Amino acid sequence: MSTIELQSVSVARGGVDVIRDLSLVVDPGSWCVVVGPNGAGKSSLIGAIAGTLRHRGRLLIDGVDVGDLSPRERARLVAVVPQQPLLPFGMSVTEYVMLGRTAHLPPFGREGARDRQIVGETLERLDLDWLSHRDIASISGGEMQRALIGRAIVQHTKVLLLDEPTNALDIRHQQQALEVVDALRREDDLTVLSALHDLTLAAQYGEKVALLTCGTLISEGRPIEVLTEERVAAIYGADVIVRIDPEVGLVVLPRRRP
Amino acid sequence: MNLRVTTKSSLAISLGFTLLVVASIVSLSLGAAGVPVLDVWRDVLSHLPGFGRSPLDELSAAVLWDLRIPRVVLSALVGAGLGMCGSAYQGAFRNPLVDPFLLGAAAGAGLGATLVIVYLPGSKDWPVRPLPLAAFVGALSAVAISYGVGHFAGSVGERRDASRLVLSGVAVASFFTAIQTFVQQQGNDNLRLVYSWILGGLTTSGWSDVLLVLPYLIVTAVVLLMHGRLLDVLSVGDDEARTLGVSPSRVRLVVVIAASVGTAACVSVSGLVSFVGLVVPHVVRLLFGSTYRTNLPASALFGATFLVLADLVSRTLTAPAELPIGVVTAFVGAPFFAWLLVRGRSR
Repeated sequence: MSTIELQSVSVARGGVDVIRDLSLVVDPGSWCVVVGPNGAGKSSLIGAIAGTLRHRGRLLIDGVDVGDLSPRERARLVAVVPQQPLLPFGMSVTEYVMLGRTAHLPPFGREGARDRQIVGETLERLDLDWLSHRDIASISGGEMQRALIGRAIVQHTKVLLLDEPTNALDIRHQQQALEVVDALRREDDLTVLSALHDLTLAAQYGEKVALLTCGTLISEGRPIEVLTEERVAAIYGADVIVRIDPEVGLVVLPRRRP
Repeated sequence: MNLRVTTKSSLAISLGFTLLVVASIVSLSLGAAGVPVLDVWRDVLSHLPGFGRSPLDELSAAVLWDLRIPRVVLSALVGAGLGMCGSAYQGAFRNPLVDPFLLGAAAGAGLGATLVIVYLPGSKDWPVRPLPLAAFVGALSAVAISYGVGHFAGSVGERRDASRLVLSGVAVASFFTAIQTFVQQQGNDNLRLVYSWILGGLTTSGWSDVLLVLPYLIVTAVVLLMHGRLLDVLSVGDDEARTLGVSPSRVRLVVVIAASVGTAACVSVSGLVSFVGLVVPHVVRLLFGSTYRTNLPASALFGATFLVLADLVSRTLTAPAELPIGVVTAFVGAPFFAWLLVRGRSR
C-alpha cells in the first residue's frame, strides 16, 4: 500500500496556472475522489501525478518524488486509466492489455511466459478473456473501460489513477467499472485517486473527497463533510438537493426549477 | 502473445518471404537481353556442384551476373528499405498517411543529386561516384534541418506533440525543392538526367551499389526491428505511452534517425521511388493488423517484392527502352492512395 502526498503542487497549461499550490494526502489503500466543476483542474491534477504534465512543488509516492523519476520508473509506481484513450488500429484486446507490461520488460525486450500469464489472468478476472482476440476498436464502451483497467492492473503498481472512468458509460457499466476498481483496490491493496463528475458516485466510492474549483482545493474529507448542499450550490453554481439515503448514503441531485 | 496473433505474424512473414522468392525468380528469368529462361537457371545451377556446365556464352553470363542479378538484389534491398522505413515513419508519427520522405529526405536527396548532375557532369566516370553520396548527404541534411526547426518550434520535447515537426518537414522540403528547381533551370543541358533521377530507376545498378547500400540498411533494419514493440506502445499516443513507461520523444528520435539513414541510402542509389514507403505498410496493415512488430519486417518483405516486380515491369514493358521505376510505383500507388483517402473519409 502506498501513500500519495502532494505538497504545494502547481500545474501550468498554456502559461496559466490550472492547479495552484495544492496540498493533499491520500492514505495507503484508500480511494480519494477528486470532484469539481468543468475546468476545476481535476484532469490536470491526475496528469501531473501521472507525469504527462509538468508540475511545481513536490509530488511524493511513499516519500519518493515522482518528478525525479524516468517514465519507466514512474510507470512501475503509478498506473493510469485515461479519460479519452487513443485507440490503435488493428490491435487485439490481449495485445492492448499487454502494453501495460512495458515497464517490466527489458528496454528492447519482448514479453515472456510470466507476462503472458499475468495478462491472461487479468483478462479472466475482468471477464475479458472471451474477447481476447477481438480488435480493441470493435468492443463496447464498458468492455473498453475494463480493458483500460486491465492494462493499468498488469503494470503491477500500488497507485491507480482514473480520469473520469465512468464517462459515456450507461448506469450498468458505470457500476461495473467502479465495482471492479473497488474490488481490485481491496484485493491488491491499491491506493486509488480518481476524478469523477457524478457526486453521488463520488460519495459512494470515495473514502475521501477533494473538492476543487479553479485549480484550488476548497475542501477535503469524508463525503458527508465536503459535499454539503450549500457548498455544492456555491461551487457549481447549481441548485441541488443533498440527501442521506439510509441504503446508499449521500445522494446529490439537481433540483428542477419551477 | 496469444496463438492467433503469433499465427498472423508468422503468416505475414512467411507469405512475404515466399512472394519475394517467387518475384525474384520471375524477375531473374525475364529481361530485355533475350537470354532464354531455362538457360538462365541452368547457368545459375551450374555454379553448384553436380549440375553440369553453363549453356551461356561469356556475354550472356555477364549480362546475367553483372547486370540482371545485382539489379534484382538492389531492387529488393531498396524496396525492403523503403517499405520498412515507411512503416517506421508511420509508427513514429502515428499517421498511416505519411511516408519516409515526410521530413524532406526526398527533396534533400533531389537537391544533392541535381547539384552533382548539373555542376559535375563528368563525375559518372570517377572512381568514386559523387552522386549517391550527394543524394545521401542531401537527404540526411534535410531531415536534420527539419528536426532542428521542429526543435526550436517546440515540437521535439519530452512533453510535446509531433505536429510542428511535420510542418517543419513540409517547409524544409519546399525550400530544398525550390533550390533544386533553380539549380536545375541553370543547367538546361542536363534537364533530362535530372528528371530521370527524380523519377527513380535502377538502370545503372551493379554490385557496387548493392555494397554501398547494404551496410546502412542492415543497421537501419536492426535498430528499427528493436523498436517495433516501442512503436506499438507509441500507437496509443504520447501521453499514454509515457504513463506506460516509454519516452516518446526519445523513441521517435531514434526511429526517425534510423529510418532516415535507411531512406537516404535507398534514394542515393535508386532516385526518388515514390509510394512504396506509403502503400506497402498500409497493405500489410490491412492484411495482418497493425502491430509494428509484424508490420516492420512484413513491410520490408512486401516492399522488396513490390519493387522487384515494379523493376521487372519498368525494364520489360517498353524494352529495350526503360520506364522510370517511379512511374510504375506511382501508377499503382497513386490510385491506391486516393482510395485510402476516400475510404478514410467514409469510415
